[in-house]
Amino acid sequence: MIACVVIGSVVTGILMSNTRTGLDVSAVKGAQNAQFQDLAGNWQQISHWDGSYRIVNFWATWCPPCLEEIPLFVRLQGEYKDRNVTFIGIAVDDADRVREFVRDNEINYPILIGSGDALRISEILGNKRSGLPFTVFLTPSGDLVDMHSGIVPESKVRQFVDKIR
Amino acid sequence: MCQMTRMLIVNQCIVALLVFCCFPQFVVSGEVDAPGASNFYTLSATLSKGNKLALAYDIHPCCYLYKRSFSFQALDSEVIVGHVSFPESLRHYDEFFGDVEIYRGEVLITLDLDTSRVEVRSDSLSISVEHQGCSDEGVCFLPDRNVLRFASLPGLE
Repeated sequence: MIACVVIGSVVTGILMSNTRTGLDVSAVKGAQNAQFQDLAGNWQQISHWDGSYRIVNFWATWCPPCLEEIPLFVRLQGEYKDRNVTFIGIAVDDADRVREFVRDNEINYPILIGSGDALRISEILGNKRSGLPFTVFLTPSGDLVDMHSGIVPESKVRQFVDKIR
Repeated sequence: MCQMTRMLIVNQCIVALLVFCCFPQFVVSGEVDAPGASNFYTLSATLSKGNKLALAYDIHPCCYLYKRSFSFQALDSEVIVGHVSFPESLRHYDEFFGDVEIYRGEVLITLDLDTSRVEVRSDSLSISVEHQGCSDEGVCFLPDRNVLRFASLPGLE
């Protein structure tokens, strides 16, 4: 009987959380509806790109490792443009500095701008250290299948894309 | 212990093992026991009679603070932050920012407070202290702001 209770509790816990990440699935989905302004001043949300595989990168211009990995994302976005993969950058930063950086570095994927609220969204998505860069990998339906704190190795992005049929 | 109880314990262990094997908890790369934005440093402040405010940082060995990121400002009082004495910094190379100055470990920063415009010595004092840091494994923390509040100016000279 005790074993049944244990099994029941475990199964319930598994159903309520993402089995891979241990995160609350409904909170993760809700976070994807948070509104951020894009570079043109329009309100956008991560779920706007539902239907595509997404690599969502939280970054800032004051964060050297963030700037170090962006050229990789630019290159891979170009390479994967026909694979239904979209990189999304969410800057935890001042809008003017972000616009200048994006212009100077020819970033070819959507950039949204947030501040402390963007960092809180990253925390809901698993950013336990509240640091940058932080990157999550989402399926077309918004399931969070992987995350990374710090500079993302190219191999990790390629593994994610290689699983797409 | 009866045989029934032993069997139940064994069953639970097997269930726990199966769950662990089938559903391993995700560990964010480089995150094992690493400090985050809220605990990679401690800060204590001492306000002395000599119109000096001593800020003692203790930074986790994994991390550093940028010297250029420090800023200090008196809030809601006539006190002005004057000269700031920084200890000798370390040189650090950032791919994007080039050579920068950083601090690690224990750091003592002293602020001279100009109180010549203060009329009531019992005024409270609030000082805003800002800084920003990163960890060696490539995670940076949002610029952090602490407001240090003192109940009164202790016999400022």
